This record gives sequence, structure tokens and C-alpha cells, in this order.
Amino acid sequence: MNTIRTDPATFTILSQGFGAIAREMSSTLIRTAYSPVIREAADASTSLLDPAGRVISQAENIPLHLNSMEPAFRACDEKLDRDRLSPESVWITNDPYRGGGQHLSDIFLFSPIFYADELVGFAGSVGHYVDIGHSRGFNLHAADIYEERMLFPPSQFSLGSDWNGGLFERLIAANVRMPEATIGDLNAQLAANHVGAARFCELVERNGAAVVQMAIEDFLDYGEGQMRAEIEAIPDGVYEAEEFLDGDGLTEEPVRIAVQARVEGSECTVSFAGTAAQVQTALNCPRASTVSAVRSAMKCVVTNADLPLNQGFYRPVVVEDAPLGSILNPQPNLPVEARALAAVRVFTAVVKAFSACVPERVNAPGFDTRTAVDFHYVRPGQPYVAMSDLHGGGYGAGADLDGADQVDDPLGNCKNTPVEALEAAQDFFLVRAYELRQDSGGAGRRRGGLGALRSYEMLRDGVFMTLYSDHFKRPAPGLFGGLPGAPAEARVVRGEEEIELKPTGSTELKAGDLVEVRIGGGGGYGPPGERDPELLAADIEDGRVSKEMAESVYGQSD
Amino acid sequence: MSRLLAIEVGGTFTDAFSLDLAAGEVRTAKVPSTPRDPALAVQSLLEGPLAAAGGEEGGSEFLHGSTVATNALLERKGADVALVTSEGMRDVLELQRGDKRRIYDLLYEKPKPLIRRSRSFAVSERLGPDGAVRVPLDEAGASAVAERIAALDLEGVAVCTLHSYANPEHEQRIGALLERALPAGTPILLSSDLVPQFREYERANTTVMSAYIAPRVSTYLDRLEAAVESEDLRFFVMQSNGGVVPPRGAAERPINTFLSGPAAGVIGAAAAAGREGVKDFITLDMGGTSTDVSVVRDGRPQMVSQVEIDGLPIQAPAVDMTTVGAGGGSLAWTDRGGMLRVGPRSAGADPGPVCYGWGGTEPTVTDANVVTNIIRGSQQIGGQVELQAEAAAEACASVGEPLGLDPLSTADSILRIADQHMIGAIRLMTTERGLDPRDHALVAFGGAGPLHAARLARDLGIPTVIVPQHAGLLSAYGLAIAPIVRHHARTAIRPLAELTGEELGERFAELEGDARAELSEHGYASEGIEVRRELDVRYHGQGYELTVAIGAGQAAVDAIAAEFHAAHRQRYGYARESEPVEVVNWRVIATIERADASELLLRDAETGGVAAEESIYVNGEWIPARFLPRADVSSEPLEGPVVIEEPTSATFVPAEWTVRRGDSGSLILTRRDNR
Repeated sequence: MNTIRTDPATFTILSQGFGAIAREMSSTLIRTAYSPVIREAADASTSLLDPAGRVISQAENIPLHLNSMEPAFRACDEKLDRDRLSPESVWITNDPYRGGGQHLSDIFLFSPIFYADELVGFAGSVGHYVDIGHSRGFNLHAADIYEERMLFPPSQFSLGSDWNGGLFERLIAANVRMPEATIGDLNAQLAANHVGAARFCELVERNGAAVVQMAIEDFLDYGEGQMRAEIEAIPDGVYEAEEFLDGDGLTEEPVRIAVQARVEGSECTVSFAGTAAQVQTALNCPRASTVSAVRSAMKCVVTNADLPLNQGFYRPVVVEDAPLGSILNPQPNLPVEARALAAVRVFTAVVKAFSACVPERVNAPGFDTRTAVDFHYVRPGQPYVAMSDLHGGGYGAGADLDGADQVDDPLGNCKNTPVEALEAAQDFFLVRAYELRQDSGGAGRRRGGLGALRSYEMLRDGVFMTLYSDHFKRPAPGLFGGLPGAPAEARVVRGEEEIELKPTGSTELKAGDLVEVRIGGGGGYGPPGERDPELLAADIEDGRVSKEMAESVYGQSD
Repeated sequence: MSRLLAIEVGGTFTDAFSLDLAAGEVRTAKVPSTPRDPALAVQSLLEGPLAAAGGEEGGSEFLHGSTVATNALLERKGADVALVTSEGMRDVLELQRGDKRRIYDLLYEKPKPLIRRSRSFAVSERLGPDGAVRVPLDEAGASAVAERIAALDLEGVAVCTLHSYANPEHEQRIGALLERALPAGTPILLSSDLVPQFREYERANTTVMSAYIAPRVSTYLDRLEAAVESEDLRFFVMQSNGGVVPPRGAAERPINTFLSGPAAGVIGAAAAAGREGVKDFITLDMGGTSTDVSVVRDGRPQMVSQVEIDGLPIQAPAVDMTTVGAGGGSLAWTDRGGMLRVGPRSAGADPGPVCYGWGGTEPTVTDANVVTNIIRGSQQIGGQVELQAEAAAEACASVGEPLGLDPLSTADSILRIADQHMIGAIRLMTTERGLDPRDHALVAFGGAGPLHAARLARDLGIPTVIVPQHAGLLSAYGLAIAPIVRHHARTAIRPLAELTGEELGERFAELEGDARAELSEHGYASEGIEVRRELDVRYHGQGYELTVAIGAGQAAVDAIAAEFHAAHRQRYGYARESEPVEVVNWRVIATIERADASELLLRDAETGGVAAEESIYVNGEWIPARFLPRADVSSEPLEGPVVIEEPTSATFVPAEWTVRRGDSGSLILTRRDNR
């Protein structure tokens, strides 16, 4: 088992040191950020990379971000000239087609780490931006990415000359609606990278560059070894599954996501034959998001959740490109803002595929959908306000446990924003309800987690709301005889009128409107008739399951 | 006062200190804790080693810290209570914050709420963030909820409605309706009274947790009070904020009694270091299963206003502390990928380290210290247990062999990895907060802290290590000397630009009034109370605050911005002086110093033992080292390598260090090549 060349104690110490650096970067980013979506919801991630751009360590924030750090870096590295790097340089990208990015709202920054004039690594961070110009919020009808957000191709800028009042910073500030927040959040990312670089230099100073270099190689091999050993234990074979999106936002034709996981020895190759073609709306999922979703799912299914992830874990997993023109590898420059929807279907489908061979390791599909509710509001002469309220949903049940109620989706890890913080930050809406939805968890021997109702009361006319979500028509399916969770719903209650909202779109709101967003539940695991009567009784007492459902679905008599 | 008695119940051991002022006699004791009924260990101490020598004329003080609240929480054995909240928010405890602690876990389980969902009730009412009433309280609905709760025959009710920190009227009215419906004496806790601070989940959980553990804490304290009862006895209970309160104060705010043991240790460290003239230092409290690290600046422990226990957040003032799973009993093992690991699993007290011969087979940090002979294999533990050095070496061999390490190198590796866990905790508390560890001394205590401290200090560039007297019992010492402390805080988000000296004065006067009223209820006159003021401040738009101390009047208001910018720059490396600043939380800290017994308590203890010379294994070679009883160390510096032994701990002084006895009896370790 032991191919580690570094002295054992040094190896342990450095491996843990790499993780500590990524975590410190993350806490710096979140604590210094301005926007609620980062500082309260924590929609941001950090990683440490070696000079070759391989991921050494990551802070455990948002899996979808984290496992695409490498493609974003690689795109920068291909397009930019390393010889022009200095300690003041920063690489930036959010370009999904030429820059290894996901959607334009996620901006990646990489800062080179120099020790004694030698390039010894990169500190990377990514944050979610509620506004970086162009469309207000999510734009279902954007014809292309140019209508979605400001685009940053892989580029290099200098902190000394382009930032802190320099051209680049001024250009960004001039083209966004909330320059203080946007520049503040970019500064928080830069502060995180700065901390990462400083700490990594200290590590090199204490241990010597050669020892650190060897420990990195060993640490990646260690990750690879763990991953291979676990894949080896899974019987060889091709495991397949499919998942669906409700539609492309314009039609109600389901969008199929199909995966095939071929396990051979200690390797696994994932392909997407049979997956739907690209769409004309912002539901396309660029390559980097697809790769990230597969890597995240493989980590979840295959290894112990406590093992720290690095580049070595990626090596035994080959993610084949979906054909160009697939929704999982769209042609330039189709819109991609809601890429999380298809990405998480890829995740769920990979997990589901493995239910055939390691049923005890996986859960039933959960609601597994990012629901983003954004509100934009501006009063003449007042600063522009954009708030992003992010929701996960009910988790799928496992073989021995009920799904968790309303937590962020498996590719995200955002916090909800406290109602009191949300209301103190703006004066145009209140949150009137945030409650679990009875009967929303898919019935089963083990029950899916419940989704939540979140409702917002508008206090002003002219609030612009954008929404993207899924599973309105086709809910999270159950597994092994378990039943599906409840689908999601969204509507605007305007006096007597009830206006049903589609899962993706935008709408103008009036004072007095009540926006009700009902998040769906996770799928059940095993037949409902096999549910332990004590668990069912507790569900009824706690209002998770109604008496009617207990009778009609679980077959409870009396 | 004639007698001072401090008993600190920890997870594994119960430590005690007594001072008979008339006789000038200090006694200490350490006995195994009795987790099922912590009062048993206390009683056995009171009847045994700490039995009063004679009359108690002049009164005595009994100070106590325990893990009763923590145990009730961890075992989910608190009271059966209900929550009343705003309409639409009844699932606040279930929904929590929506994120996960383990992102790659498909079978994720949320922290379990303290009450089940059916115990959560909502009433129609609504305030805005400024406290203005948006929906009036539905009195009939609230009464109906009160009746339904009354029918459940519960042990208490927590009330937490939205924005109640800005206006307590609705909660107070709901409380009154509950009081009318429930049997007399049922505890009804209002969040606006306990923790008037924003973020509804954290506040609701804090209020519910108070109701949940209060009866357990009260019952325990009542029993104990009866057991120690005597004329003229003053009883005090330790809190996480580093101060004590009378038992009624603790019973009213039981959440303040979590983590009181580690806080007491920091108070003890501050007193001991202060007597050596050291005000800025890092504490290292290394026990059997874990190590606690905190930072003291200018003699004051750094504080936080929220802590987390078992995944549940509590808004309670506490000494800011990081805990890592590296203690003397932490186990060494090799994971499936071939990485040598130490902790977080621990051998605990049973079976304990291999060298104790109580059945342990996996090597611990203590075993590694025995194999390297820094803990002498020829020594007896507690005068009873013959250490089994060979068994410890065999255990190290079995872990090290697959890695190609001999037993000695394995032991050395275990120590280095354990050290690194502690160094990580120290960096988290210093460099990650903009502090340079080299500007601090390291104060080491707990049974194992002084063995490791100098090695950590060397790696961190810390020039001085201080090992207080009674290092193995420092929590009990801290308990004996802790002042009476209460924090009162409230959220009122105010733009700094709009703030006047007058408003500042009014808001603080109100908080100060609350603090003085509470202390006067406990029988303390106003004169002896020292009140400090603090504000939690942030840039408008930020989500986290930094705390600044503040004086009075317009000058104080004018100073806030500069203090905040400076604090922000220190913590995060930059400040934005043109950005608007806002005040978020207002806090007063009321302190009453108790009679100062710190010097009396630091009298040299009779340690016994004889000097010896043996080899120790350090940096890959066996070198000769001296072993001395603590009493043999004088103010004349001794050069390392030397190990100072005493009954409850031992101090390792490496070759490049010297050690001397400080003015107050602490051991002062200094790096010789002080750069």
C-alpha cells in the first residue's frame, strides 16, 4: 500500500497543512465579502493548486465550484503567458466556452505564488456574483451569453496597475449595478488568494521546496490510491441511469440526461450517450460543469466522506466529453446561466447508476435542484439592490435513514439567509413563511426529506423577480420501490388572483403580492408498506406525514 | 472569609483546590469524574481529602464548574419543552441554516433539534427589523396556543418571534398569556430577554436550549447547594465567559455554563502569567482527549459571542477557543492510504494508554512520550501504576512497521504529528486573526501541555513558555479566583454617521441598568461593579462584525470608526476608510472582583520526588537528560535538556532552552538563541 516517499510524519503534517490553507482562504473570503450571497449563503470556494495547476487541497464549500477549479485554471494556463507572471498578477476567467468557466456569474481568480522568485503554486478562488451587468438576474430568454453577464475571457491583470483605481477595476465598477458589492467581493477573493499565497510560502520556508514538492506528489498519489482501491471493490460492469429536466423553459418536452458509468478494474469511465441536445435557453450546461458534477458524484459514491479531495481522486475517473451540441457540451455561445439544473441531474444520474452495484452507499434521488429566487429593485436616485435567495430541497432517503429535510442540493452547500438578516438589508419585501411542507417527502421504507415553503410579501411596486428551478412537473423519483417526492411549485398571489409561475423565468411584482415558492421533497427508498410503524407514527405526530397519506400511501389501517 | 473551595468537574477528572485562610493551607485533589451523577465525585471530595479542618468562622466560598449542561445536551436528556414563534416560522429549528458539514456525504444527517416538530407552535404577529408592528399580535390565537401547550404538561416554554431584539412587546405579551395558562412556576423564557440579538435560528435555538437544560442544571445545583450547605457559605457557578455567578444566575441562564472548565483554565493562566508580568499570551491546555487553545491580549481573554455544541449554535459570550482532538490519550493509526494519523479517537480513561497496562493495545501520544523516555518508563503514575514501557514500544512497532519505521521513529513521528495538530490550532487563533504568535508567550497547562509546549514554541518562533504552579489543576485554580461576570448585549443596527454621544449614552445606560439590576438581585451593591462597554461593528453590507471597546460621550463615538478600521486591518489585512460603518450589537460587561487569593493559592506545593539522570530520544538520537522535582528549580536558569516532574504534570525543557522559577512560582522556559 505504501508508495509514499516523504517521511511519514512530514507527509501527514504537510497534507493537513495544505487543507488548512484552503480553509483559511475560505474563511477570509466569506468573512470579508460584501454580498449576502457570499457572506451569509457562503456561495464561494477556494483551492490550492500546484504549479502545474493540479488541485492540492480545497475548502469544503460548494462541490460544483470546487471540482471545476482545474478546467478553469487550465484554460487560463493555455491562453496566458506564464513568463509574464509576477507576484502582482492575477488570472481571471468566467468564460464557459473558452475559459473553463461554468456560468458567467461565477468568477474564478488565480494568484501565482512565488517563493524566492520561483513559481511554487497558485491560490484559486471562485465566488458567485448576483450582478455583473447585462441582464438583471437570470434571463431565460437571453439569446447568448453576451446577453447574460459581462464576460471575462482568461486574462491576466496586475494588482499594481489595473486594480485599486486602475482601468480594469474601474471598467468593472462602471458596468455593474452594485459596484461596491461587486468590487468588495472581488477584493474578498483577492484577500483569500493573498492569504493562501502567504501561508503556502511559510510552508515552503519551513520545509524546503523540494520536500513540499515531494509531499504534493505523494499526497496526490495517496488520493489516487484510495480512489482506485474503492473502485476496484466495485464489480466491473456498465451501470446506467437517466434523469430528466422538466423542459427547456419554453416547451414542456422533458430533457433527458443519460449517463453510463463503465467500471473496469480500478478505473471508471463516464459517458453521456442518449443525452438531449443543447437548448436555446439558459439551461445549457457547459463542459466544466458537467465534469465537476461527475467528479463530485464519484467522490460521494466511492470514498469515505471524510477523505480530503485532491487531484489524485480525479485520475481514475475519465469523463468523456458529450458530443458538441449536447446540453452537456453546448456550442458557443449559447446561454448557460441556469447550468446548475442540468449539472445536478448529471450528479443524481451517476449516483443512481451505482445503486445497481452498491445500493447501501447511495441514496434515492433527492429534490437535488438549485432554486434561485432573485429580487431586483431600484428607486430613482437610490442605490440598486439585488438579493439572491438560494434553496436546496429534501434529500433522498438512504437504505437506513430518512432523507434530510430542506438542505442545499448535493452540488451546492449554501446556507439559507436568516429572515432577520434579509429584512434588515432591504425594505421592499418581507419573508412571510419558511416552513416544511407536509407530505412532500417521497414515501418509502425510508422516507425522502421534506421540502420547504418560502413566501415573500412585496412592499413596493416594481420589484423584478427572476426564478430558476426544476422538478415542477417531474418530481424526484424513488428508489427500490420508494415513491417520488412532491414536485415544486411557485405562484404569485395578487389579491384574488393566483398566477402560476414556471420553473424558469422572470416577472414584475406589485406591492402586496405574495410570492410562494414551494420546494419539493426527496425520493423514498424501498416500498412504503415496509415502513417501521413507529417511524410512521412519529411522522404523523410531527406533521411530516398526514393521516390521509398514512392511509392511502403507507396503507396504515385505523 | 475563612475558606475557599473550588471544584471543577471535567469529562474525565474532577479537580479540586482548597485554601484554609486561617491555617494558610492549600490542598489539591484529582479524582475520576462520575458522569452519571457528577455530584458524587464532589461529595466524595468534600467528605474525603477536602473535608473542612475546623470551624467555618468568617464564611467560606464554594466555587463550582461542571459538565452537567453539556451532558444533558449531548445525551438529549433535557426537559420536555415547547417553542412559540411567529406565524410562518414554526420550523426554524428544523430548517437550521441549510448547509452541510460534510459535503461529500450522500447519507447526510442534520444536527438533531432539541425538540420535536410537534412541540413548535406559531402565533400570528409580525414586527419589522426596526421593531415596528406590521401585524398586531393575535391575542385569541396566542391564548389558544397557550391552552394547547398547557394541555401537554411540559417543563417549560421558549418564546422567540421575529425581530424581537428590536421590540420585546409581543414576546412579553405571549409570555403573559402562557403564564396565565400554565401551572404556576413553569419556566417561560423569552428570547428578547435572554439574547436580544439578530439571526432567528441562532436566537431560537439558544432560547430553546436554555429551557431544555435549565431544569437539569437547577436540580443539580439545588442538590449540590444542599450538600455543601453551611452558615455563611457563598456558592458560585462558573460560566463560559470566564466569570462566576451565584447559582440562581446560572439557573436563569444555564447556556452560560457550557464550556466553563476550559474558560476557568484560561482565567487561571491569565492570573499566573499576570503575576510574572506577562499580558499577551497563548494558552495551551492539553488533556487526555483534546487540547484547547485560546489567546489572551492585555490580560483579557479574547471572547466570542456565539459557540456551537453538538452542531447547535448558542448565542452566549464565551472565551474564544479552538479545540483539537490531540491529547495524551489520542490514538495513532495508519489509514488505508498509508498515512500515519493521530486522533481524533482517544483511548480515554478506559482502556487508557498502552503503558498503563489496562488493556490498551493501540499506541497513544502518552505511549510515544514513554517510548522516547520523556515520560520515564521507570516512573510510577500516581504512585501506583507501574508504567509498561515495553508494551508501549511494541504498540508503536505494530503501527510503524508497515510504514518502514522502527518503534523509536514511530514514537517520534507520533509526537511530531500531535504537535502539528496543536500548532494548527495556535495558528488558527493567531495568524488567521492577524496576530503574530511570536509576540506572545505560550502558557502551558493540563496534564500534558507542559511536555509539548517548548517544542511547539520552537516551531512557532515563540520565545517564552510559562508553566504555572498546579499546571495539572489549573482549571480549578482559575475557578477559585474567577471574578463575578455578566454580559448584557442587544442588537440595534445603527449607521455610525447618525450616532450621537447622547444616543450612545442612552443605549448603554439601559444595558448597564439591566446589568446592575441583575447583580443587585443577587445581593451586590452597585459600588463594586466595574462596567466595560463594547460594540460589534461592521462595514455596511458585511455579514460579520468586529468588536471594539468604547468609552463615553461624543469623543467615544468619534473614535469608533478609527478603532474599527484598525481592527479590520489587523484581522483581514485591509480597511476601507471611505465606506459607511454601522454598529450592530451593543454590549456591557459587568465585573465584580472577588477577594484576591491568587497569590496565596500559588504557594509552592510539596511535590516530592528525587533528581535523576536518564537518556531521552530526541531528534533521532539518545541524549542524556536530567529529571528534577519541581521544587529543585530555582530562580537560577538551568539548561535543558531537563524534565521537571510533579504529581499532575511534567515539563520538558529541550536542549536549546533554559528554565528557571519565576517570581510567583511559575516555570519560565526561555529559548537560548533568542533571536
